[in-house]
This record gives sequence, C-alpha cells and structure tokens, in this order.
Amino acid sequence: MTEEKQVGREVRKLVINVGPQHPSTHGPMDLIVTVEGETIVDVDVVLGYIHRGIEKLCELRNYFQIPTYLNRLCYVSGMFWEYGFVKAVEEIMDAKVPERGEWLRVIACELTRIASHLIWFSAFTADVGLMTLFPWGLRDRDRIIDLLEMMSGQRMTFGYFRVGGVRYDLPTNFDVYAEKAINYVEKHLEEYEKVIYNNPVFLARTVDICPVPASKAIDLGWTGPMLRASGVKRDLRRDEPYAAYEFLDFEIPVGKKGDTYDRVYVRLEEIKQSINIVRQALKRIPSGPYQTRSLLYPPPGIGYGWVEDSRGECGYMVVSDGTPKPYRVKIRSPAYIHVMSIPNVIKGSKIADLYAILGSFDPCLGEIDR
Amino acid sequence: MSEQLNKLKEILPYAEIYKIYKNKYYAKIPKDKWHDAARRLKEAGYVLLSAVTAVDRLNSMEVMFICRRLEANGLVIVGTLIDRNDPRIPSLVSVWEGAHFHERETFDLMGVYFEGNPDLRRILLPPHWVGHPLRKDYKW
Repeated sequence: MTEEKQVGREVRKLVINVGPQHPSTHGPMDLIVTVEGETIVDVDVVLGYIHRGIEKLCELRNYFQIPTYLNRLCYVSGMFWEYGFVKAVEEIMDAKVPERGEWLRVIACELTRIASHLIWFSAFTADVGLMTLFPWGLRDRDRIIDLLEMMSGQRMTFGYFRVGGVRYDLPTNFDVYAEKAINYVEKHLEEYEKVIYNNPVFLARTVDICPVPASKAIDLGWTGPMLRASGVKRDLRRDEPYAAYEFLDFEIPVGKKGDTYDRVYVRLEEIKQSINIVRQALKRIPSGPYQTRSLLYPPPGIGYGWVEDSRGECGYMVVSDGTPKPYRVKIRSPAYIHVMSIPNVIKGSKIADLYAILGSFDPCLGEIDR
Repeated sequence: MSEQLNKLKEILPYAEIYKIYKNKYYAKIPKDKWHDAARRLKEAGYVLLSAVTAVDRLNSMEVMFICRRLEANGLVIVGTLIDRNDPRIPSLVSVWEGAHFHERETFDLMGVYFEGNPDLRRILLPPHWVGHPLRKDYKW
C-alpha cells in the first residue's frame, strides 16, 4: 500500500492491490486500484498468473489431441471451447456433421450454459452478500453436471466434441433423467428470483451500478450477455445459426441500461431459455449416426469458428498448412475483453461496488490467461 | 452471398478478397492501407471488432484484424504482410477503443509494435520476459 499526498487540498490517493489471491476475483488476477476517498480513479489489470501457452501447445499437437487441451481453457464451460475449435476445423475441411450429431451438440452446449450461469450466479450472489444462495446454486449445478457426465463420461473436462460429430451417443433413458434434473433446476429458479428481485440489499448493490451504454459496449468489443444487457439484441445462435439452432424456438433476453442488475437479469433469463431449448431438443432429436469418418487433417486454409459461449463470442482462428498440426491457432476469449475493459468503464464507481461489478463481468481466469 | 462480396469490394477497392467459408471473407490489403481499411469498414457498418492478431510467416509477419457487422451475419478478416524483423503497424485504438487489449496481447506474444497505442506493455507474460513465444523461431 503506497500513499501520495497532494499539496494544498487534503486529497489522498491510495493504491490498493485487489488480488492476486482474493476471493472476489474468481481466480488469480490482480487489480491495482487507485482510489480517491472512496471513488475509483484508475484500475490496472494484471493478468497472466495461469498463462499456460495453450496457443503454442496447439501448434505442437495434432488435430485430435488439441480438444483435450481446449476444454481446460474454461473449466466451467468446457464444451463450448471444444466446439469452437472443432467448428473452425470443419470449416476448413468443409466437413458435414450428421443431423443427430448437430442436435447432440445443441444439448451439450445448452446444458453447459445452464451449469456455467449457475456457478456464476452462486459466486455473484456471494459477492453481493447473499451467502445463502451460494450453496443453492452449486446444488442445482451438480444435477446438470450429472447429465453432462452421462453424456460424455466426464464432469469437467469433457472431450466430447470430435471433428465430424460427437464422441458418444446419448445413454438409454437420458431424456427421463434430463427432464427430472431440468424440472429440479426450473423449480429452484423461481426461488432465486423471489430471493433476489425483492431483496433491498441485492437491489442496492446492483441497480444503477456501473451502467454501460450500448455504443460503448460495441466499441469495446463486448459480446454475449454483457452486450445484451446493454440492450443490443445480438446472439450468434440466432444471427449466425449453427448446429441445429435454426430449428429451435427461443427468445433473446436483453437489458435496458446495461447496469449490474441487467447483467444478472439477462443471465437468469438465459438459463430459462436454455432449459426451454434442451426440452425442445430432447423431443425433436432425430435418430441416425452421430459422427462421421472425416479426413485426418484439413487442407491448407484458414478458418474462423465461433460459438455463443456463456460469456460471449468464443472464436478460434485456425491457420492450416496441410500438415497434421495446425500452423497457428488464435483463441479469442470473450472474458479477456470484458475484464481488460474494466478500466474503461469503472472510473467514478465506489470501491465497495468493485466486487459486484467484477462479479457481474463473469471472469473465468482459465480462458482469460489461456 | 456474392452481394456481400461486391459490397466489400466497394468498401476496400485496393484489397484482394476471397471467400474462406460461406459468408466469411479474407481481404489482403497493402501495408499502408491498414488504418484506412479499418476506418472504412467501421463506417460501412462493420462495428464489432473480434480480434487483432498476427501469424508468423517466417519470412514476413502477417497482421490481421477480424471484424463483423452488428445486424447481419458474416465477417471479414483483413490481413497484411509486414517486415518480420521490424514489425511496425499503426494502432487501431483510434478506430475501436477495444483494439487496445488485442494489440497488447499480440505485442506480448508476437512482438508486433502497434504505433500510437497508448499503453503497449506485456500482459500475459511477466514484464521481464525475453522474447515472444508465438514466433516460430522461439527457443524454449
């Protein structure tokens, strides 16, 4: 902690280190916050504590080994990160995925989105002082993780997506188990809403805290729930339909002001929409093959695969030179952009709100540091 | 889809444009048009910047930015080749505020200097690190 006194007026600037080991940063990340009284005047974001060099590792492995690394990028939404890469490679190959494979991908992605938003919700409510909700969220997430385990055999690092389809078919009676778990989550969602939306503590901590207008959000390159909270109706599932999303019927929730409250609202509504999508998909999933034999590796070319991650646009630019290993893999992480833009949007907020704001940005250090 | 291609040709008359997949295009531009291309694309509605990145082509460095429109699908990757031993390119911060984060990352891992960036420092690696690990000749 350093202090700096200005001559003339009694204005003290204080530099506070939030992190790298801090319960509210959701991972090893350092925020060097300069405050004047209680007001934040500057923030410097220090990242890289868990930088593993996955982009470099990808250049040294072949196309079948790579997804194993990629689901470790974000340990709460691994499915999306496998999918983005697989999609980029499929674009270079121009590979066709069987219909059932596309529907299985939708189910896997939407279940992951529910799990990811639930763990975010638990952590965020703990950040704003509602400790009761923390175990509630984790309890519900566990039921969804059970479903993902049934699909892929793993609880966190799935390894489910393959170029040309998915790895396993659904187990028997999956729809019965899924319906049960989804009903369980849906029932509890109502409880959450009752607890938070009428709670003066929650409202005081979120309403009108750090509002971000749509123009600013677009200029900073925000995507996903963060952009939608600012009122921009942009969702890759609808705008750029991939997998089987064009056959599904769902709504895109948007916020009004882009404040912390809207960011919570949008994510909670998205859980409902995901539940809705999983229900539709389980009913309408066609039978048939779920994977194809594809080429061993793509021809020379460049591909950009994007999917709507639970945090925003998860993008992979894969440059192939026709060898079994990719020439370059660029990982576009949405949370990196959101966290790095904290200094651009936070100035003028109070230090006490920092944790609520940071929590509402949904940082996942695995994908930020890569 | 060729409609979008024609529109891109109109926006970037000096570019060599080809299709990479469905509605995704790659535009190769001369080095001195880098900033101008970004400005023209943004004015034409390509307001969302996805990434600024680089690929080490061994005898040169290929710098790219990826942007897309808000209301329609599809994207464009704009790339240009620069000198690998002295990789300098104008910064895009004056066009997109969000370009700053991507430029810091590309500087850190690839060693490309973005001239005009207000705060070009290492971000993922510690400040005392030597070398740029995503370059093909990096020894580890």
